[in-house]
Amino acid sequence: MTPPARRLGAALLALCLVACRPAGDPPASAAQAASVPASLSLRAAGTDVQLRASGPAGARWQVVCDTFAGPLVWNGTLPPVPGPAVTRWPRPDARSCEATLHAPPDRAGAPTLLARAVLTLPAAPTTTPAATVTAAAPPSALPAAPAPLTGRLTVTPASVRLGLREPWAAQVTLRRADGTPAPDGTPVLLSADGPAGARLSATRVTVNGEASWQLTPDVPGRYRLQARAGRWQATAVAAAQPALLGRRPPVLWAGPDLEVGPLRWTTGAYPDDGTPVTLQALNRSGRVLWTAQVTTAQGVARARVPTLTGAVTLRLSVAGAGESLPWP
Amino acid sequence: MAVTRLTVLKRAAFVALLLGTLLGGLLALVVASRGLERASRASSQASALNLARRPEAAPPLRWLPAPPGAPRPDGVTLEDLRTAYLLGHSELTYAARSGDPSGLSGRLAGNALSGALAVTRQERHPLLLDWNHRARLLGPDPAGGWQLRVRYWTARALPGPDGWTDLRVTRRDAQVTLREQSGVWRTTDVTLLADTRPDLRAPPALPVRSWRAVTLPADWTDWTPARWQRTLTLAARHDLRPLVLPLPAQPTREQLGALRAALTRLHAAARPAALAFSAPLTLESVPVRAAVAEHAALAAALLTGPVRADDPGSRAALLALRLTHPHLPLLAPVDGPAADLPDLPALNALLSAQLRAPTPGPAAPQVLLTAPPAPRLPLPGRPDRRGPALTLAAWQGGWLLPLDALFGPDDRPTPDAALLLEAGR
Repeated sequence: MTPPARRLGAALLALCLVACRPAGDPPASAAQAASVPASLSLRAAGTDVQLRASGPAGARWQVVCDTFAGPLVWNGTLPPVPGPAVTRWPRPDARSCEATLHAPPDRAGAPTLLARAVLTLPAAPTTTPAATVTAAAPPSALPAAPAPLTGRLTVTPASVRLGLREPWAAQVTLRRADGTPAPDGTPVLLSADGPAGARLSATRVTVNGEASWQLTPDVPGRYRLQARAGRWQATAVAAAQPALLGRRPPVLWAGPDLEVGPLRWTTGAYPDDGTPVTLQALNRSGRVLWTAQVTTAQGVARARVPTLTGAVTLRLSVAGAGESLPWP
Repeated sequence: MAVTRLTVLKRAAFVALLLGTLLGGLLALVVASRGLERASRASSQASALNLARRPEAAPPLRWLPAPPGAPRPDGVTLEDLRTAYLLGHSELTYAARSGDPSGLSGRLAGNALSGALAVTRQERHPLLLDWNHRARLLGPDPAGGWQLRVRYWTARALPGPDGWTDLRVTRRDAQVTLREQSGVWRTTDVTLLADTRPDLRAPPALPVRSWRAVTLPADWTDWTPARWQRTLTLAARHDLRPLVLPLPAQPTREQLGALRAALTRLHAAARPAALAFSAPLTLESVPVRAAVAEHAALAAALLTGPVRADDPGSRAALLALRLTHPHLPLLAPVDGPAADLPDLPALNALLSAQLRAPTPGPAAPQVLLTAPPAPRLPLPGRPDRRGPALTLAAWQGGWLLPLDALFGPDDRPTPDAALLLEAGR
């Protein structure tokens, strides 16, 4: 072979070597990986979970959702086209999913983590049987009752009017599983939650399987009454309504004292002696100038009033009922 | 040259032999690959079955009292429900790891079955472990069956090129419905309520620098009261504390019974006790160790077994034990090069103390000293280094040694041990 032909052969060989190099040169792709910013977002979209990933071409994403039966895994590789890749799939019954994006595999060592996203999914509502209203309560330290009791709580009347000597009669009837009355002396706790934090509670023991209470509320509103005996419990709802004053009461000055009354309920009766009455003097703009808490005697409430200037209205409240009168 | 008939015959025979050998070789290859595939599948199924075993000696489910007023099951015992629920979990572990869904329909139904099939059908077979279940019977399901509220621990990992990846240890709350279908109680509906990893607390402090601990011989489970009394007297005379009770990797019911009795006995004698596993700690061994640790409420510490510092599996196993029993101090001998593992806490955040052979110089505060094991063959090139190690341990303090290595058959200290037992008293 002549020298020019040898040179040509060497050039051809070099060209062939260059042309035959693998296309995906790792250092070049690593440099590319460093230049493209990676981002990853995982979100719940309706009944689907959606992954939006962007980064260097060839980067690998993985989503792991932990279901009851084990991890569900989805994998993929970012395509060479620019822009984020979006993938959706049906939402699994998992509370958390984790997405990771790793750089394209390199020859040396483990692939580097480019981005990570965590999605927390809410739990679906569970169907709890009606008998277990306190299912989520912490383990109770109540001692086990020797035999399960069944019973009934009744409250009559369902609605009382304040101030009219109408008490609630609450009665609990307790029976054992075989239908016989609960043993005499079984303690039953009755507690009630009312409006504005009003509470009352009282314990009675059963006689012949029955325990009864008489309760007089003093705050109008809805009350939730609950009776407990061992593991048995029952609830009932009752209401206390404000009583109505029968007609506009007369207001008189008796020397320095203001005398309101006699007050009468709609039934014509006087309020019980000692029923608390709140008297307030208001000016034209509705500001309270003076307040007094007094009690009735023979239906009449009396209060000593200081010198007031500008009072135009007298407001009277008794047992949840209110009345506004012109200042005498 | 004329070709004779004999030559033709010879050539034909040669070609036939060649072809036959080739065909036979190919056939052998096909048969071998089939056999190998079947053998590897059988071995993976066998290892998955091993994973799915729940420690029968230490039951992994405990009932919590039912809410007041909840009806009691009728026609089915709590034991039936417990067995059905746990067999469902065993089947999940087996199917996820082996990829064999054939047994799933026997233990699961409804949405639990479809979820399990979705996991099993995947290419990569994950590791799925569960332990320390707490269940509360909620009441009957409106559509038949019984509802449970459960809380349990779970670990999952995905197989990677070199060991487990994507390790996750969480505590789960779920509502589970069990129904009887064709005479078998099955898990039918599962709603995951929460799946969280509680915050990792700092490991409880352990004054290991003042320890004069001894490991009892492996036959302690069979000791008579007289033998216990002798050991307790020996421990009191030489102020040995705590006494470490070694356990095998899969303790039997009898061994756990002996463990409870021994812990009560040591507690009554005011002698602290610790529990030790000698088999290496792996993620797969967590369910048994966590269940045994639960039965050892009176123990002062748990020696989890050797831990590899660069292995994510054993690091995750330590994390699992730490989270499950946050008040139990953990100790372990650590070997392998120190490594930072992504997503897993450092060893110091998991272990209360490490076990190490003594080296000259001051010992670190959270290091318990042990002697190297006795050489199996007294070869001239491998000297017994236990004597110098005992001397070092005597100077530095805080050690754990086998009871047999310190005392002779007559309960007198060996010459090497005399110095050690005298020091620090």
